[in-house]
Amino acid sequence: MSTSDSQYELEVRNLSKVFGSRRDRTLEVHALKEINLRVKAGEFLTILGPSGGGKSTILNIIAQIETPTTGTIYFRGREVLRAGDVQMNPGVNCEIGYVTQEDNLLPWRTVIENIMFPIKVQNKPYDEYLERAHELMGMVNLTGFGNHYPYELSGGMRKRAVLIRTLLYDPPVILMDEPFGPLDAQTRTQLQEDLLRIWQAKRKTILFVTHDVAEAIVLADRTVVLTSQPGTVRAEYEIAIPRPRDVHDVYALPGFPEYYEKIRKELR
Amino acid sequence: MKRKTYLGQAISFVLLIVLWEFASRLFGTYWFSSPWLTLSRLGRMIWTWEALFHLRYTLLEAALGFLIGGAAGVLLPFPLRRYPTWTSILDPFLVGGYGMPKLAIAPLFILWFGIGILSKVAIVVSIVFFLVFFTTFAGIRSVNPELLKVARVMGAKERHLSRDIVWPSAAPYIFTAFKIALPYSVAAAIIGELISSNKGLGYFIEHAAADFDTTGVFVGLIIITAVIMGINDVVNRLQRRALSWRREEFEELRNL
Repeated sequence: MSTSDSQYELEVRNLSKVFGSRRDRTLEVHALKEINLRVKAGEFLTILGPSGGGKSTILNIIAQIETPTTGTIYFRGREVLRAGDVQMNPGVNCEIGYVTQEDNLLPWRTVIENIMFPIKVQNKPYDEYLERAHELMGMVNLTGFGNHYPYELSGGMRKRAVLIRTLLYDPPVILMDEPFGPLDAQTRTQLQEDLLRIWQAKRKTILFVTHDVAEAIVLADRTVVLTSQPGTVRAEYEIAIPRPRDVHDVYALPGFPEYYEKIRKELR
Repeated sequence: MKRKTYLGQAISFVLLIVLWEFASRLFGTYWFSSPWLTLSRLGRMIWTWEALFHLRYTLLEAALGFLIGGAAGVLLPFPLRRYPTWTSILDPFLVGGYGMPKLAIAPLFILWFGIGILSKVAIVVSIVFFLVFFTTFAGIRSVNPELLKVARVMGAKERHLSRDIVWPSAAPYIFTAFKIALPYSVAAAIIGELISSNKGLGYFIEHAAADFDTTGVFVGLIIITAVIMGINDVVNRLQRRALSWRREEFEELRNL
């Protein structure tokens, strides 16, 4: 086992992923090629790239629900995954949370039962966390919906529930895969605001994947632009827009239009 | 809406009785009995406890067979989910067992277990098990793999996955399996009795037919049909209660 420079919360080294066909090598798809990422503790990193560019695959591999073809992943300087590992450890002992594109709430559980699900399976003190769950629900206007079933909620509310489900058990790193993708613009902005507020309060390390340039800029401390097929890191931008940022009026943010122009060009 | 349905059902029922009466007058009660003859015989059979005597045996056989076959059919797919190799090994045997006509092995069961209750229970088990097994297995395969992945990331162990995700996903399938298997279990018990028995509704029908007692046959059929409809109604109510988290079911409840 090797170690890495432990000043980084999460480090991805030389990550590649080939979706293969055993019979015909010409059908192989190089989804990711030699990706290197270094994320500091408490950093909000956005990963921007065209659809189908292997962005989700990066997160799936970091969350250990998909295997890498090459590469190593370090968490706080400790190697947690190396290509060729047979035994995967999804979520790395609950250190890495994952908010996927789909809601993935259990339809047969109420909202509060869903939010408490990780607490239950991790054997954490239920009552203590229940109190915090209600606090978090208050922060995102879900108060009073605890006993509803997911299908009774709007898409935006379900997203908030999913967000809280991960925040509640408090993994230091949270991966987010276009979590606000299917929502209408207004709900989306509202959720971005909620997310930034919570992140500023709790200072999680967040890797947030999106194909929306404005979203990538407005949320991020730093944004990484990927190319597609194979996915490689094309450019990296420190986003020096001061916080707190007003997500409702992004064009008024100092420097936003310049970032937007530059990054949009990278995507071509 | 609901009232219209009931009214239509009542009219259809009356029409059916009229048609029956008509047929019995046209061809004679020897072939078709008649609604009135059948009803009065049914009344007498209930009054003398003869109906209950036979029904008791049939239901006991069906219930025992249903419980044993149903429990095995529901429980077996769960460990198999985690061992795909076992599943592939067992697959042809299970498909074969499902396909084998149970009516054809019934004589064998009677040879092994005698003409008493046991042989009928065995027939019911052999039918219910395969029905429930395959439907439950389909339910387990229908589990959204994304839910399992996300739950693993959140720290869920295999037992949580089974209990909190796989089981509830399969529940609608299991209910459907029970719904199909329940009337089958009564029917299977009766078929066993028809082949060889000295009590039960199947025996009663067989006996009546041998005596050219058409009324007796009709009474037997009516009792069986009523029992199966009653069972279906109970299962439907249970299902609606247990699966209230499903949107369709929820809306159905609202419209009532």
